[in-house]
Amino acid sequence: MQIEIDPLSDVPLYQQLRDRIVEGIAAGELVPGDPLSSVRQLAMEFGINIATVSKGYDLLRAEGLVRTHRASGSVVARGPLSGRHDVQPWTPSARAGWIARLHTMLAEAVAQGETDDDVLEAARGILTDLAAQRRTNDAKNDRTNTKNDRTKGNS
Amino acid sequence: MTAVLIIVPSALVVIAAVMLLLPALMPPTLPLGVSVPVERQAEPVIRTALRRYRLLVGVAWLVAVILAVALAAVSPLTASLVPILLFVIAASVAYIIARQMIVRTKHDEQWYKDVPVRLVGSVTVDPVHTSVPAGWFAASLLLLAIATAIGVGVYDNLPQQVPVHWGLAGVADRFDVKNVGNVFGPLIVGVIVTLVLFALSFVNRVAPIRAAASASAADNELRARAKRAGLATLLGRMMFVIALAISWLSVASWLLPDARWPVTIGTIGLLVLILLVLVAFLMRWRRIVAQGIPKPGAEHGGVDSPDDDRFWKAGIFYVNRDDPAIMVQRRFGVGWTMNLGHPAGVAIGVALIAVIVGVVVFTIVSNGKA
Repeated sequence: MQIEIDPLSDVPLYQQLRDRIVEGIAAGELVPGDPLSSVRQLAMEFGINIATVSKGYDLLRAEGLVRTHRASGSVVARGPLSGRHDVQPWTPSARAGWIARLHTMLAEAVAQGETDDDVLEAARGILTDLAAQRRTNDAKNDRTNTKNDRTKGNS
Repeated sequence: MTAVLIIVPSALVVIAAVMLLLPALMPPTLPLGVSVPVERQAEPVIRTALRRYRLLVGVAWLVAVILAVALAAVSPLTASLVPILLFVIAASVAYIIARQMIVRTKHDEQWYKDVPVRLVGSVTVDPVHTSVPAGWFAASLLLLAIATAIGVGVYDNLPQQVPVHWGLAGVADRFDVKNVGNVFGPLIVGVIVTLVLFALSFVNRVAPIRAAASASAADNELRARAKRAGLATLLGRMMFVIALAISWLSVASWLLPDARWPVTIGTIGLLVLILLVLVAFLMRWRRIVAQGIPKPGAEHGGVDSPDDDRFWKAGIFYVNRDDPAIMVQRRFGVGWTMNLGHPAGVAIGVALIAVIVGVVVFTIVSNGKA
């Protein structure tokens, strides 16, 4: 899966890396079991510091989205439920962190004068979009059953 | 002296042709190794700079040829080295002058202002598609092995004195007592060259090829794969041609020591084959580099790769401390270059300079003795 990160953005590169991978999982471009590049490979791919990539992977591991084995490297560990196998419940601390960020995000919209309905509609639009992308990606994976035809899908 | 009159101008023609062809082998967003946004790739200053570059290289070539002819009357060795050296320096100056025109305009007109830039790459492990040129490698070793077998067979019948040094005209001018080293020396060099080129083809498999932000993911993958395949083919063919020439010249010198034609055919054949391999490669490369890069005004994602000129000193030397890659794709030219911001890259650079200095010193010293 190809991702884009903005070297001039105020958002740190490791955060962008983590965000793009989370979005890839939500869109079904990455499914549980998919191998991710090693920290070193990924840093070489983008020409950025190894420590930056390592920090992004640390975030993903702390959230349980990625698991790293010494032998087999990093793999995607979680994914959307969508009728698939036994996805464990979210760790309470990760969920609490998300609620805190969501609180800020929703407060931004309310502070700007958005109505509750508009906020909910925007959220539903994004969720519908992700579900649609997931369906496309699932169909593609079923058809080819390979992992090398992923196309650019985010940012 | 007549040999100098042929070899030096033809060497100058080959170097000049390569220097003049190089700009055409760059992606349109890297004219003369300067990174420019997609929307700026047709700016008039770029065309002017390329014209200036070609003009200066052409003039430098003419001066070098005249110098070579003039010097040939005085000293063949000076005539063979000085003009080529001066031409390479002059062509480098032409390159610097021309690219500075683009750099200055880009800076003054702020080409990257308000242009969104992205680094793009894959986060998943993509399967390695590139194969190493194992067939060419096996064929090269087979040729060298056959030549060695012939050498072993005729070793006892070879004269006690064998030539170990040839003058510029291709005539042996120094002899030594026969031993395994000077009989099989060229073949050993051939094996080393073959091994080095084969080792490079493994670098070609793993060294990163960075994606263009303006191109689609599919195009980036296709381009990277085509580049690796093209370089693998080039390395394979090169090792075979070199092994063929060395085997031929060795066998000819044993079986037909007095005939001049095998040497002539071997040398000309080597040059022609190398030229053919290079031309085939360059035509292929030219198609590959521009693949998927949108034209100005064309519909694309609206993002560019970042301006990374600050990591490319003179567009040639890559210095990036953050980049963990030791070898990266060249900016101006074809192939790989080391990252001088990485300790291992510096080590490779020092080793290369040591080898080049060693070869030059050895050549001068051995010529001096003769």
